[in-house]
Amino acid sequence: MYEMVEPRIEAIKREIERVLALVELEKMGRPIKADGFRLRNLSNWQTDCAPGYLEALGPLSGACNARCAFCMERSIPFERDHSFLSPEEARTRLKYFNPENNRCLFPSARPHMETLLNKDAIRILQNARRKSPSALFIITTNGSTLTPEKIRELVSIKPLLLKLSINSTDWESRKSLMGLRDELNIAVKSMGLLKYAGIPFIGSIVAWPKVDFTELERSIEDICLYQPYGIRIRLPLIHKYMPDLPIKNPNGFWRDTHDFVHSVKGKFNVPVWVEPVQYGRVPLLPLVDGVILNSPAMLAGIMPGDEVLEINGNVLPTRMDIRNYFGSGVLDHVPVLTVKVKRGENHLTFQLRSPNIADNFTARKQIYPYDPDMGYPGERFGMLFLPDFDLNYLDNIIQLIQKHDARKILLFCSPLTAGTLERLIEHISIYNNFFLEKDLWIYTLEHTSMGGNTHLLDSRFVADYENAISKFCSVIKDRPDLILIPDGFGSSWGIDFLGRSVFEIESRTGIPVELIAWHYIYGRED
Amino acid sequence: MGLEEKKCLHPFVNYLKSRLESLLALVQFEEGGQVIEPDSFSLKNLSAWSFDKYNTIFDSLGSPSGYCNLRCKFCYEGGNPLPFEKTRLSVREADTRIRYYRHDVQKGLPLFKTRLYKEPFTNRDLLPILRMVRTADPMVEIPLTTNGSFFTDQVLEQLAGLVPVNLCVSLNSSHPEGRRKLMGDQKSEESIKMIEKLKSYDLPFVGTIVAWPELETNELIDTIYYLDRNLARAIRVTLPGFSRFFSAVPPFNTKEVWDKVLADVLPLRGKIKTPLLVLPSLYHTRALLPEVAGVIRESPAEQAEIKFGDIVRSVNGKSVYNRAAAKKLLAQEYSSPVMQIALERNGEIFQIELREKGADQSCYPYRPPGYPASMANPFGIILIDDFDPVWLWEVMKRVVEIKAKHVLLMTSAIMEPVVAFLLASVPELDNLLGETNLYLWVPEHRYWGGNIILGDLYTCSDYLQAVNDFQEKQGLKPDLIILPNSFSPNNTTDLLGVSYSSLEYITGIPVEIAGCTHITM
Repeated sequence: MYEMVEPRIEAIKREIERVLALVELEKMGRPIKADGFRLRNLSNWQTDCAPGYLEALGPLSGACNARCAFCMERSIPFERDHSFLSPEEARTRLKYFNPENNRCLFPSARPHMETLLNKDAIRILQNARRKSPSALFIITTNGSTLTPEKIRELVSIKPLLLKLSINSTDWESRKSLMGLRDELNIAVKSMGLLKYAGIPFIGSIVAWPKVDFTELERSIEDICLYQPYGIRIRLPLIHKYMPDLPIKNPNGFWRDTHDFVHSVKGKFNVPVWVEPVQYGRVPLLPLVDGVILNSPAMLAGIMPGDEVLEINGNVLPTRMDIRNYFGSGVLDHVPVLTVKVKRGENHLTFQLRSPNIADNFTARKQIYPYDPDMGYPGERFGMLFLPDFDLNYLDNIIQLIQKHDARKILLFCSPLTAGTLERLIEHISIYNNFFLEKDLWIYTLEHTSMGGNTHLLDSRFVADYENAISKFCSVIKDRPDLILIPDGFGSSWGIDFLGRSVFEIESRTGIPVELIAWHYIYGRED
Repeated sequence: MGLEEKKCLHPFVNYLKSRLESLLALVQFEEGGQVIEPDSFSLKNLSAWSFDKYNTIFDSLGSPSGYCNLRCKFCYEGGNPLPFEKTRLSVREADTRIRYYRHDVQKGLPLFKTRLYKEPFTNRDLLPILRMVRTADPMVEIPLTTNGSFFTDQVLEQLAGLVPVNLCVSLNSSHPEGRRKLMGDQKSEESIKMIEKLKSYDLPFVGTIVAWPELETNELIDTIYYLDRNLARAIRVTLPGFSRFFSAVPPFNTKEVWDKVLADVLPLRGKIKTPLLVLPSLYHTRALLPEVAGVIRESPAEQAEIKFGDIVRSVNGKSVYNRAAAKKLLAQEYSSPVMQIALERNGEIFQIELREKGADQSCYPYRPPGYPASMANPFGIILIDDFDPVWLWEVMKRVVEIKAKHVLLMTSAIMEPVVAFLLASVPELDNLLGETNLYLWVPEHRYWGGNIILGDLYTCSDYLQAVNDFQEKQGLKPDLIILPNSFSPNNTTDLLGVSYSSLEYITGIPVEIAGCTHITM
């Protein structure tokens, strides 16, 4: 199963098979029946990067106990690794994560499925916690195993944030939508227990035609009763392998859902947002995407939609500047934040004060779901900024173009990001000047081999790019001299689910191909 | 095959070994979930490995022993830097090799490890192994080169039961003290005495002498007479050789020593009946001339009074113009009962009919009971190995095919004059070449050094240097290099295991390998 993530392991395996077809191994004259192998010198195999110990573990489970109607993994025609991360593998992965340079072992090929289905999940997470006492662990779960006992065990892993797939708070509806038995309605009940345990959660809903907007709104309301950290409404991706094409007009469904959520989110006192975050949102502009309940931002009066002008005297012109500023650690022990915002025509200044809670359990409970020590990416003092396009992506692209001395660049990009990119190049003079003497074609895929509305993603299939390039060349009657493809394959080798490498394009067309870091639609971290 | 063994392996096995080593540097194997570190491997499906060509099943066994019990002063293995394996052929390996030998195509298992041919009788299992060979093939001739120190009546009796066995005995001196000094044989009296017994067991033998300078003239001559008296099939005197690994400074003046040996030995050819050969023959014999080097005693040739120095003019009516052609024609007739041959002696031509006696008649040493007619020396006539002009013709045809303009043909000190003579005197070769310039070049023996004059020991590095030397001297870059294949035991690599393609790679000049005559030493 390592073809995608570390093809050299498959190459070693094949080489072993070839040699063992010719020779029989012996030890002290006795034949050996080698039936497996393990890698030596694992420190040489730290070929990947992870922000922390939890991420270095990779998915704990490649299996799920739910059968969600909207699940992208449904009926896909290629092999997936449905195994669980074993405690032994976990120990090795933790051992070979280097927090100084963030190097870790090559990733596993498991998709992110139901973490808590791994019977060793708590033990593995506790081991990771011992290595990393303060980092926030984010776990996505369908909640079906969140019994009071399990939640008590999870307390030992704090700081922890759950992304809880609720989808609908209507018991019957949830059961049929998610194909879960969950007779005790454990997931929905767990929300109350999580508050008691001091574990914040993000309520997650995948919008789906079976759940109408009334039910959607009621579900948001219901979740709000349990004081969630936030609520995300995910717009569904569908592909042609799903049974009975569940949504006939996905574009319309996305638009309607987005508009509906946009129209009601102001009613709730927690952040409610739509994912993919790129959809229907003003990009780049440093608008507050949400205010965490009971947070200093809420107490001070910051509101969603406020445009941040300055934080503690720093001008941070884009959302990513703020996220990077938050992530840099400069605010870790700062007690007060002075935030200047623009609200409508008004310029307002707020003082956000960190609550003095120390280890006071009751005080912590009072400010739930806010937690000053949590460090959720993009949030400090309760101001939430969701991921956005990072200008570093563009700087990186410019470097690649210079490296190849390219003049005619074909850049693939999701339709959800293309507009942002075009506007950046148009409005920022350094980018504008750079591209003045170059041909830059920003190409958005219209059809992908997965069908449905997966063209909104950056395709994970080499064939899609290959087809698009040949079509493109025949239309413009020219050839690009550099092809840039978002590194969205889930493989740093650029190998797709069918085992094809994106660099095959380079050897077939003779045009250099580079993978670029990018703002993914439904990126790997989700 | 132990994984720790280095070098001296067959390239295929070495390749597998190095692949395994690379893999084992990356992974540990598991058996039932437990780590297990293999320490050796064996080949699967051996029948698929029976692809190496051998003349006989016995050859397919390789050397019986990589050990020698004596320490000859002249041993050319002294200081040999090449990786060789010191082992003996085991009964088990012999059994496997015999089992996988394919008589129909004369192919067997490759020699997986390079084991030098040393004293075969240091292998205690030699006689049982020979019996296995004899059972598998009742006809095959078994050649054994030995220092003779293991000969006892019991051994000779057993060998007599395994005929045909062709012995080549390194006597070197028939003076017990001399042999002791030269070879370190503590029981030299017995070893020398046993030579006298070979006839009583009907075991024919070739006696050999390395004419090392320490060997006094009278001792050398006595030894030749001793071998003659004891009816050796032939006596081979080898001019002494050494490499730079043998001795940092030359142990003697080669020309002086060689010329003295020739002066001492060559005149004896008219005085004794046994064929007396001094090697390398081309050092002192006229090349190409189809001259008889000697006749084996009790052979049809001896009975027909053919003598050393007679020149073969025709065989069964077919005219003969050079030695290689004569050898080929004679070899074709080796098993005929009768052969017509025309000889020239003192300007006169004789027609002679040679008639083979029946196999039931003992003709020691020519053909004792149980021995087939000799293909190497048909009817008892010995011709030395010589340059075959056909080879040059083939090479030239290849050159024309490739359309090369400047061809560098590597040769050796001993062969160069012959090739030059042929090129100058055969107009057809010149016509064939047309516009092509052919350059003969004798590379310096930089790797082995010493007094080597043959081409067999050239290395690829010598050839590379030679290309540079040539370019420096001639000021032009050849567009084709031809190497005689004598330097390579496998038509690919030199004795150090370096492939000739490295020469091509480094110089950027195409290299062709051409088959040629190996000079038997």
